[in-house]
Amino acid sequence: MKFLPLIALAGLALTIIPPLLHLLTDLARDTTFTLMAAGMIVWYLAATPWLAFKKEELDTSTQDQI
Amino acid sequence: MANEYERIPVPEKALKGPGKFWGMYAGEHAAGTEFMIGPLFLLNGVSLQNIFIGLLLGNFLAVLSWRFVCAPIATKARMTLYFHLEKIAGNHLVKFYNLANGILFCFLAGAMITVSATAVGIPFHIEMPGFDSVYPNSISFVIIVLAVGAVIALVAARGYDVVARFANVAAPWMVLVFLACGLVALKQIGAANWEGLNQVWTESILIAQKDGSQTTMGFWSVVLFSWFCNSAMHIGMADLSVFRYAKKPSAGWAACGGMYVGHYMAWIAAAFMLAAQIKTTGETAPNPGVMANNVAGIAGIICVIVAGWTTANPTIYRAGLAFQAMIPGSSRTTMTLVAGIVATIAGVFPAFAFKLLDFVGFYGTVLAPMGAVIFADWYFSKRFNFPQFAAEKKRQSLNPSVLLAWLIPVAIATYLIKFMGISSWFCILPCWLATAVLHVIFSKSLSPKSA
Repeated sequence: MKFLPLIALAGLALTIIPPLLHLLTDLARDTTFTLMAAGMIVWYLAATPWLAFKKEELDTSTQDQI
Repeated sequence: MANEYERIPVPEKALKGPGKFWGMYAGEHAAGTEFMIGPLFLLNGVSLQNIFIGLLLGNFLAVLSWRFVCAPIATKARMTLYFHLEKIAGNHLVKFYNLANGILFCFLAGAMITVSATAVGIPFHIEMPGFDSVYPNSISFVIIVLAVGAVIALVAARGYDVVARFANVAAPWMVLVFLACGLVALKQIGAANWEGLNQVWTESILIAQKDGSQTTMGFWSVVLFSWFCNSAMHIGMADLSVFRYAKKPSAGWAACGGMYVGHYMAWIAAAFMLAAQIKTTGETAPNPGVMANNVAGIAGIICVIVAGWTTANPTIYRAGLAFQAMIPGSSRTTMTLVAGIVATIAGVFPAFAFKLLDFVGFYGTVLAPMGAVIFADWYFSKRFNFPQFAAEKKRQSLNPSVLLAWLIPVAIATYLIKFMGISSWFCILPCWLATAVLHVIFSKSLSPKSA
């Protein structure tokens, strides 16, 4: 379980670094989208067991969604 | 959810440090609505400079409102909005306020169902409604909205916890997808500097507004909208329920996390998505699913679905609770399904999503003034010699002073918005101030002298 945050962070890195490279270099659009999709899968697989079962410490039941 | 202190002040042992609030606000304010609000600025003709500077100022004023209006009372009283309001306004009036909240939530959820449907419909090659659409443009779109709405309503009827947990997981990823969308959109816009970006932006407005005859939001409209789009939460005091856990009022600065991530970066990124779409395809309809697919592919489509779903789901759940409170003996599941049906029907009409700026302003106009009642009761009851927490002291279920102080300004503002064409975000602050003044006047004049 200790390595889950690291894997999840790798998923986030795959989500944001390819678009940065796409903007600043010649990384192709399709490659960018594929890497972002891979990042999404890695994030949800690793972050779900890491974050989903944390106890909510604040009552956010009145929070709006705007 | 840590809601065990609903009817007692939060004790010292349950207080939290500021870090909890920063994380919560950053996550909560990157929602499905952001995919609509950013593009709507472009469609309403806001200049690029006004977006950057107006949002900077407006969001700062919103943060100040959380820090200096909401958080100080929250950390002294340590009560939820509803418990605090019940002591002043009475149980029945709180239910009425909650019902108004619930109805407005249904339409907000409806807009988010529309947002999700624009993404779900992409694999089916469904033609999406245009920006001027009031009614659905095809039976296929209606079927997609009904299917998305049914799933969201059924999940909401099963409870809040699972969706809240999923939203916690999704939030950090969604924030980065918003940023990624903005970066790719910038590449598609192809501007080398500020002048180039400004030129593409201005051309996009001209294309979107066609003959240029449509209304234009100016600097102060942007400032006031961004200040007050969460007015129900800060000057409206709904976040008393959040900050009652804070050790100090300085926790109110945590709202910076939500404002400058969700209401600055995400709005601007979403606006760039539409500018990129107009430049590359000439299409001006702000359909979030189509725009996100254009700049982020499958990750963008999933982000729109997740953002719409995690926004609509708790909103329908809360609306269901509000309806349940109005009908004694009704089941939460049934009332949540009723709220889901209302939201789904609203979602069929794209006008609710495309008029989101007006709706959000109206939402604040109706709900924020109740915060003025709490503010005036807290700070002015001793100075002007009227009873604090009057309903609790007089054992009233409905305090007429509060009802009148709330409804008179809201009724006038509603008339001005609906019949005089005044933008709703201009009405929120005057309404709030008028309610505060009227609460003091009515509390003094309608209270027995001995009170």
